[in-house]
Amino acid sequence: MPARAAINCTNRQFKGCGRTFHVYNMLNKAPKLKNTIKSKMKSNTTVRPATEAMIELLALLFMNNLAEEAKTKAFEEKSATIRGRHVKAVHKKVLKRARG
Amino acid sequence: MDSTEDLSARVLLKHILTTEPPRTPVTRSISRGNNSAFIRHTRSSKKNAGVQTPQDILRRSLRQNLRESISRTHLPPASKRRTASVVVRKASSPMLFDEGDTPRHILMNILRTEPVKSPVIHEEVAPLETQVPSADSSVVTHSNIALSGLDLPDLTFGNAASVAKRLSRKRPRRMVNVSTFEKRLREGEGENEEEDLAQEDLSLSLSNATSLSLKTPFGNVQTEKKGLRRRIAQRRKITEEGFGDAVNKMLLDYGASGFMQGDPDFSESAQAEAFTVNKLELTNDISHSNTSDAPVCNVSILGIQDQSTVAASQIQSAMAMGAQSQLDAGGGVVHMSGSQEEKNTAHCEAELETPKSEEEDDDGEEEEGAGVESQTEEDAAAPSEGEDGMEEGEGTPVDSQAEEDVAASSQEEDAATPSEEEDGVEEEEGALFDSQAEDAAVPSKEEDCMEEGEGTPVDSQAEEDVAASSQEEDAAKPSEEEDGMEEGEGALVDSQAEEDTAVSSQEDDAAMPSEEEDGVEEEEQALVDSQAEEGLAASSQEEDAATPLEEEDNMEEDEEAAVAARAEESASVTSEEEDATATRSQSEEEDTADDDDDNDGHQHDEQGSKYDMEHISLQAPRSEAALVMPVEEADITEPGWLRGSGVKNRTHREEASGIEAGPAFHHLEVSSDKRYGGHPIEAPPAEDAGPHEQEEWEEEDHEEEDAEIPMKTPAFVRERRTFQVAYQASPTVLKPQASSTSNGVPLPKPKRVRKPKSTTVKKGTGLPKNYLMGVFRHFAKAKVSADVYPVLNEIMDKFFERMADDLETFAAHAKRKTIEVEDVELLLRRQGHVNDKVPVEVLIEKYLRMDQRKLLIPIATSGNVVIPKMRR
Repeated sequence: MPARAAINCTNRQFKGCGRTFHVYNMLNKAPKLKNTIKSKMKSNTTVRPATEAMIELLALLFMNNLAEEAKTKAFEEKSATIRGRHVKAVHKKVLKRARG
Repeated sequence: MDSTEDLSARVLLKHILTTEPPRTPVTRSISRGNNSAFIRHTRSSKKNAGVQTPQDILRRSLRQNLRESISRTHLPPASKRRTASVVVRKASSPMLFDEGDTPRHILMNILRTEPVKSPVIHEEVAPLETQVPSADSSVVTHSNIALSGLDLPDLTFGNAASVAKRLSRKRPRRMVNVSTFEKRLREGEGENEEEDLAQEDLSLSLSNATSLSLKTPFGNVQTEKKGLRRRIAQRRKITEEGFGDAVNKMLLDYGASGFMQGDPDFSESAQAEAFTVNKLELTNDISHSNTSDAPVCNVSILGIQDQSTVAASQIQSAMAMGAQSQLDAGGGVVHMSGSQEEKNTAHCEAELETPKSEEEDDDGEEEEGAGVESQTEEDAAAPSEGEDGMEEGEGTPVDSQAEEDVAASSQEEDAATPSEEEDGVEEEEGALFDSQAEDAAVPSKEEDCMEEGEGTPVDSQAEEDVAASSQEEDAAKPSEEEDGMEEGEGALVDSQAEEDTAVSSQEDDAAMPSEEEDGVEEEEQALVDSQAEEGLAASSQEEDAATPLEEEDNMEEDEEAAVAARAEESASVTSEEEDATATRSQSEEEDTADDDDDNDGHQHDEQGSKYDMEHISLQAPRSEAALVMPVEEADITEPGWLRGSGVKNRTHREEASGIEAGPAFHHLEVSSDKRYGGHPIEAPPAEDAGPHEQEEWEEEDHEEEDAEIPMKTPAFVRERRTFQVAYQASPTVLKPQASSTSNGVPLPKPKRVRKPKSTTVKKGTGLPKNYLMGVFRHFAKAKVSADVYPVLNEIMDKFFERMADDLETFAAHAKRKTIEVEDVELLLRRQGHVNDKVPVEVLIEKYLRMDQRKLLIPIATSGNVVIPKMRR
C-alpha cells in the first residue's frame, strides 16, 4: 500500500482496495444497492447484510473488469479518455465472462 | 683400429647417435661430446665388441640426455650455456674450422640438433634454435635439410615447435582469420595452403564461426528491419481502419451527445466535423459536383462503402454545404453528429441519421445527405434489411432533397423508384425517412430498430419519405406487425396510419390494401400511414388530404396508395380535425418560422432517446419540407392539405420511430419543407392526420409545381403508405394523437414524453450516478468521459439482473429463500474470480471496506469471541 502523508490514511487502509491512492470512492457504501438488487429479484428473497457486502464485491469485480477492458479498448484507438463507445464495444464480452 | 674405425662414418654416426646433444647446446654438446667421445670409445668399443644396433645406442643416448637435462635443469642454465656455448663454440670452431661442408660438420650439427627427441621439446628446441643461429645458421640449415631424414623428428619437432608456437593462443585465432582471409584470397597462395589446410582443420570451426558470425548479424538485422517494417505497415492499416471507425463512432457519439445538449451540440458537432475533415472534403467535393444523379450516386456509393464514415462526413459536409440555412446547418450538424452517435448506439439509428442529414442539407446538401442518409440508413437498414448499397443510393437521393433531390433522386430513383418498391431500396429510403420522422419517435427504439431499419425513414419526408418509407416500410413492416408490408415501408406507414386513425378509408382504393398488403404500395402507404399515425391530430387534415389524395391517386397509382394511406390516416384522424386545425395553424406558424424545424429537430432529438430517430426525423422534415412545400403551396388554401402533408412527413419519420412524437415530427417535417421550398410549411401540428394526405398532397403539389417533385412523391407516397400500414401495429398512435393536439409548439412534446417515462423508470433500478462513475473512474485509472454513464447504467442493469437471477437459482437449489453468502461465493467461483489458488478472503480484503470485511471474515476479539459468529 502506498504510504500516505495524511495521518488518516491508516484508518482507511482497510476500507479501500489499498492498492491505489484513490480509495475514497470505496469509503461510502454503494447506495441503494440493496434496492436495486431487490428490484431485480423475481421471487421474494431476502438479503443479509453480509450477503449484500458480497454482492457489492461482485459488482466491484465486474466493474473492474469492465473498466479495464474499456481502457484497453480506448488505448487501442489511441484515446486517452474512455468514451461511451469504448465501453459499449467491450461490455458484451465482459458480461459474457461474468455469466457463471 | 677402433680409433681409426671410429673416424669412419659409421663410427661417427654411432657416436652421434649415442651422444645426445646436451640441452644447453654448448654444455651438452661439449660435455657430451667429450664424455660421449670417451663413452663412445668405451661404448663403441663395447658395442663394437658386441654388435649393437644404432637403436640401442640411441636409446642410451636419450636416457643420458634425459638424465642430463634433469640434472641440468636444477643448475642455472645460463652459466652452463655460456660456458658450454663458449666451449661449444671453441669446440665447434675447431670442428668447423676444418671444413664447413664436410660430413663432420654435418655430424656436428646433427649432434646439436639431436636432443630434440627428448620430451622436453621446447627447451631443446629453444637451445637448438638459439644455437643454430649462433653457430652456423647455414650449416645448421644444411644439416637440417640434409639430415632431414634422420633428423626428421628434430626437424619436424622444430617445425612442430614453431607450429606449436604459432598455434599458441593468439595464433590460432590469427590463423583463423588468416585462414579465412587466405581462403578467400587463396587462389594464388599455395604456400599457405598447407598451413591453411592444417590450420583450417584446426581453425575450421573458428573460421566457420567467424564467417558465420559475420554473416548472421547481417541477416538478423535485415530480418529485424523487415519485421519492423512489416509491423508498421500492418499497424498503419489497422489504424486507418480503426480510425475511420473510431471517427465515425466519435461523430456519432458527439452527435448523440450533442442532441442531448443544446449548446454543446454545436461544439461537439464541430469536433465531430473536425474528425471527419477528410470525409468532409470528400463529401464536399462530391456535393459540389453533385447536382445530378451521378454525384448522388457517388455519394450513395461512398456511403455504402463507408457507411459510418461517409455518413458522418456527408452529414458534416452537408452541414457545411448547408449554407442555405445556418440554423439548418447547425441543426443539421447536431443532427448529423447526433445521428452519427446514434448509429453507434444502434444501427437502426443510423438510418435515422441519414434522413436527418437529409433534412439539414439543402438541395446540394440533400444530395449528399441523401447519400449520407442512405448510408446511415444502410448502416441501420443493413442489419434490419440487409439491403445493398443500391438502396442507399436511392434512398439517399430521395431523402436528400425534396425538390431538387426529387429531380436528382428521381433520376436516381428511376433506378431507385423500383427500389422504392424494391425491398432493398425502399427499406433504406424508408429507413431514412423513418429515421427522420422518428426523431421524435426515437423513444420507441423498439419500433425504431424495426422500423428504422425498415421503414422508419418513411415517415420522414412526405415525398421523399414515401419513396424511402416504402422502402423502409419493407423493413418496418415486421416491426409494424405487417409481414406483407415489408416490401413497402408503406406497410409501416399504413399500419401506423391505420393505427393512429380509424383508417378512414376515404381513399381506401388501393391505398388501404396496398398499405397493408402490397409491398409496393406499402412503401408509399407506409409513408402515408406512418404519417397518418403520427399525425393523429391531422385527422382532419387527412380528410382534406384525402381529397387531394384522391387527386393524387389519379396522378399516380403509387401515390394513390399513399394517398389512400393518407386518407386512411386522415380518416382516422377525423377525430383529430380539431387537432388538424390546430396543427394547421401550427403548421402555418411553423412554416413561417424556419426555426421551428430546427427546434423540432432539436426537440425531436432531445425527445428521442433513440437518437437515430430524431436525427432522421430532423432530416426528414427538412427534406419533407421541400416536398411539402409545393404541396403546401397548393394546399395553403386548404389547411387540411397542409396538415396532411405535414403529417405525411411526420408519419414517415414517426412510423419508424413510433410516431409518438408525431406532432413534433409533423412540425419538423412541415418546417423542413418550408425551408427547402420556401413555401409555408405545413408545420403539421396534426401530425398524424395528414401523413397520408401530405404525401398525396405533396405528390400532387409536386406534380403541379415541379416536374421533379411528382417523381418523388410517388416514392414518398408509397413509403408513407407502407408506413401507415406498419404503424397500425405500433402502439405509438396514441401518443402522437395526444401530442399532436397540443402541438402548436414542438417543445412541449418532448417534455411530455420524457416525464412519464422518467418517473416510472427511476424507481428500483439505478445506482447513483456519481457512485457508479466514481467507481468506474477508480478502476479505469484513466480519464473517463461523462458519456459513459448511460452505457454504464445499462450494463450494470443487465449485470444485476443476471446476478440476481443466478443467486436466486442457487438459493432455490439449496431450498432456501434467502440468499446467503455461500451463494454469492459459489457465483464468484463460477465466474472465475475465485479459484483454489485465490480464496474468497483475498478478494474480500482487496475490494471491500472494513465494515464489510468484518461481516464476512471472522475476526477474533478479546474474550475468545469471534465476530461474526461462525455459523454451524
